[in-house]
Amino acid sequence: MGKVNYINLKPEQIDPGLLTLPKAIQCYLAINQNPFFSFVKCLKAEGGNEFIVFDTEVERGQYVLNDIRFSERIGIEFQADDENIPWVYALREDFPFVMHLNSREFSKPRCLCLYDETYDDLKLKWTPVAFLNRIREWLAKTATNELHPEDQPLEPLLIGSSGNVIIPSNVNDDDKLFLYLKSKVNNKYNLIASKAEQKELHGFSCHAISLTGKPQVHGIIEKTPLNFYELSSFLKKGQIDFVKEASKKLKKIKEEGGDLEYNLLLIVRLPKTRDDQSDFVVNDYYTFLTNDNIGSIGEKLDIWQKSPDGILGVVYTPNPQDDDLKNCGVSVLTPHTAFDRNKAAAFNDVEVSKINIVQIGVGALGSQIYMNMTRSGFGKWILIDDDILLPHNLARHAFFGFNQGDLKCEWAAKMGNDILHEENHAKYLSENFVNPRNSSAVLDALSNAQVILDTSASIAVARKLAEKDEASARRVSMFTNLTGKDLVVIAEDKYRIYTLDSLEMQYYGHLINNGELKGHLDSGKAAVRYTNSCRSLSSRIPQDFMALHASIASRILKKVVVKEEPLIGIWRIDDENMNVKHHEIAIASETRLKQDEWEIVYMNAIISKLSEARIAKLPNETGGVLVGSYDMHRKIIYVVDSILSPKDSEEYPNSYLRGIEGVKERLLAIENQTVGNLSYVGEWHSHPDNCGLEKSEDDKKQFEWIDEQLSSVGLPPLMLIMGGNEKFKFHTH
Amino acid sequence: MWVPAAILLETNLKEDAQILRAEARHRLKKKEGIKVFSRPDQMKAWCDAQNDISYDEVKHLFVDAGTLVPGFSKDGEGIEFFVHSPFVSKTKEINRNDEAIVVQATFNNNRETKIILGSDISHKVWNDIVEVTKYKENEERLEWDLFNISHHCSYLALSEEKGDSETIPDDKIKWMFEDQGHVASTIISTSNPIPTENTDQPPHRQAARYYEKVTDKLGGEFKVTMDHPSTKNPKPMVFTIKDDEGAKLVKTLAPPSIMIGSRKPPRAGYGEG
Repeated sequence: MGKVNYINLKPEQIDPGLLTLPKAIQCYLAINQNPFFSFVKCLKAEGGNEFIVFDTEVERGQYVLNDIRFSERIGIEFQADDENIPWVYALREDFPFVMHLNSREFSKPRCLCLYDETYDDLKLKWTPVAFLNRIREWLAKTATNELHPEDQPLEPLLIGSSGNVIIPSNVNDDDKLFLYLKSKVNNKYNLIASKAEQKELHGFSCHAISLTGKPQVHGIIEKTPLNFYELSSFLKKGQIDFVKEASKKLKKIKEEGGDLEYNLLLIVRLPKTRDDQSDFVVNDYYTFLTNDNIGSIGEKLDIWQKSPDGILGVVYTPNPQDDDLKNCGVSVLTPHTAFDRNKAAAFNDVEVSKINIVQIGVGALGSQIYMNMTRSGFGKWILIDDDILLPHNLARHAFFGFNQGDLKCEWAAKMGNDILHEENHAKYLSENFVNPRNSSAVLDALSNAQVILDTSASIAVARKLAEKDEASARRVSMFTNLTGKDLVVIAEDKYRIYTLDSLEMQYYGHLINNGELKGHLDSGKAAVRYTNSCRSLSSRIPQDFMALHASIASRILKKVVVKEEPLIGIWRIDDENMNVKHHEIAIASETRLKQDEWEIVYMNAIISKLSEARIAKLPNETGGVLVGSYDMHRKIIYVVDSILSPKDSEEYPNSYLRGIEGVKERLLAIENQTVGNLSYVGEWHSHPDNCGLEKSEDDKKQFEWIDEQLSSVGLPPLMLIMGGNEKFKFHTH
Repeated sequence: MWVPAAILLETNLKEDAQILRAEARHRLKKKEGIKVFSRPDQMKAWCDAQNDISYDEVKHLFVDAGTLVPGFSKDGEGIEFFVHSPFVSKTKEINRNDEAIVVQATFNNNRETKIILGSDISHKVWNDIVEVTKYKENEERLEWDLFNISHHCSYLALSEEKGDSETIPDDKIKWMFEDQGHVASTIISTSNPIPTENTDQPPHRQAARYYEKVTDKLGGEFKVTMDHPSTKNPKPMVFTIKDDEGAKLVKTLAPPSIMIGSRKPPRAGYGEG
């Protein structure tokens, strides 16, 4: 391998005993204790910075991808003020130019970039051993090119930034960019570049131009360029003729009457591929702010010259001099490409999704779910809501004070589009979903949807959605109970075999048979009145609960849309310890059948249950009460459960008299548990074998009695006759 | 148990060697758990002289120099062993060191990492090995990525002459080290740290100097077991063999949780008396 030459650091050598900086002393001691380090010397610079030079053994195999040796000489520069992370230099003269180097104002010695977190964060867990081990890890992983994640920029981070600039993610060389000063903190500019003019923002007196290099495999910037001359020589490797391109753009600015007193912001895009075969291209962006204004830069580029009377004359054959280019100083701004859907998805660790979602209801839960989904780049949305934001909404909605009086759906759409830098991430329809003014627009939206999300907390909306119409998208309903402790998610299957309405019935059926969910539909504390009207009541639900439920709901929504199965789930918060318990309700098979004017929806399990009860009592008849619900608007009777024959019933081989013992109590309990959503819907009884399923004379009398009872409250009568072999018949009007 | 045939035949043994011989003889008679390297005629005579075995019954347990150790293959176990030593010799007196087992192990990684285990043989045996290997055109059997050098860094494994500052190896041995070593290879001396003084007993600094020159030229390392990772606190050397990386000496200390968690701390507290 021959003789190894090391770069000599300039400061004066001192005895290790004369080190004063605590971190330098700690590292010196650690180096002497660790078998893989051997101390070489200490140095001290005039400003007080202290250096430790040592050799370290590198854990590398025989075959490496970068020329990292078994032993490397390292210098650490500890800064007197301890404000920046100690600089770590690789002192071997021919140490390779690899990734994860800090770009300093010199290219050698190479300065290792060890951490991707700030020094303030690092200080909290600083130990000299960890720091030294990180150096060894850097060397070992760089040897095998394992240090960088796939999306790591290939170019180094430039040190010494004089601010930040946020640039659009898809900026092209010909785009006109407007620059705005958002803030100035500690003498550093924080700018935003926008393709659209934004008059309400504070303009920054600077022209922006962008230049794009040819795709490269390797990084080309070895040190932070300080002027046009250095910039030009780096960009040559990226196949950008910097002087020519910059001159062209400056001339254009002048032609268009741009202010030549303005300085220049250079946005340089360097597309990179990971290797020769790779199609994976990443864009590394660099932004530089010139120290001079455009007029003066143009003179240095020799594209125009100022006459003694101050007029700029065009130079037809420019011949810029190296010294002039060196006098054209630049400072680095740290570029940040704008947030977009891809970034949103990546930061949220989800796949990008452009699934069309129509959301009905942008209230407390709805607005927060929508914002969670937006921030993860999930979905293209149409928001339907005709509500405006009122002061009391600020307690739990994802909106701001200045939104008061605004349409909720409009502002939610605006916020989403703004966050993702998309024009059409979300659109809105200011409509009452149940009674829309423009029903074709609503239908149009629903027909193009892939998922219809109901966060309206309105049964009317859910029932309307349950209908089978032109819109084939599965429906998902999400709401909290009145105390805010429980979140309910009801999702149809992909093919809409199970629709929202019957799944809602199954959810009620579960409540009445499951003690664990006791109190689920309790009304909670008295509601708060927010204005004088009778309906102006808003429930008392902590935003803490709402935010927690919105998080669960948005997470579940992402999972639901990729599955085919239906889902009924309840998530209950325990306010004592903030545990959340999930209850998944098994979906029961059901049947929908048309009976006279009515559609009857019943759980298949009921038929088995009644059939078993019938067989158990043979040769006698038996019977009981049917429990369920109605959709009077759509003429649907839901049969969800039953009460079997009470003790005081009279059962004979050919007749049945239903008793009353415990029936009222049970019905009251059912109504109580489901806040009236489940109740008495009719009677059932069995027939002996071979007696048919039609109403007997007695049956007709009972049917009339049922009709009398129910018609007095406007409900239809229902009677079920259970025969042999699980044969049965519903009777109604 | 891998033993050179010599160990079964040797007489006038003491302690450890005697126990080894007893165990080896026991296993041979049981016809399992043993491989015997080389098969001198004395071995056959010895077997046949025993009451309970005959040579024919155990001859499959013998492995000859110049062949692969049975039971291992690159495709199956991921490793094969080529036997260089001991040779069959009728005339030579038994010298336990020179009858030691020398093998080249080849791993089935992309790089086919090769390790030579040099045991305790002398330069004379090495010269024979190189000569025979070249004669059989088996040069690749002396290629190496890791070389566990012979006899604890004794100069006698290189040459008859120790040299003042550096042992100059015999030409054949020089070829083996300088021409057969792969890039960035490691030479391992299983020995005490290399002394700075001239010593009678190995390790010899003159031999170490030569090995260092070899690895320096190859861009590799010369490592001494009792120096790793430090003389004060030596630890077993562990190499990883990976597809693309080849051989790599692990140079990482266990994290504190494992280190402290697996050791009892010393007594603490205010002791009386």
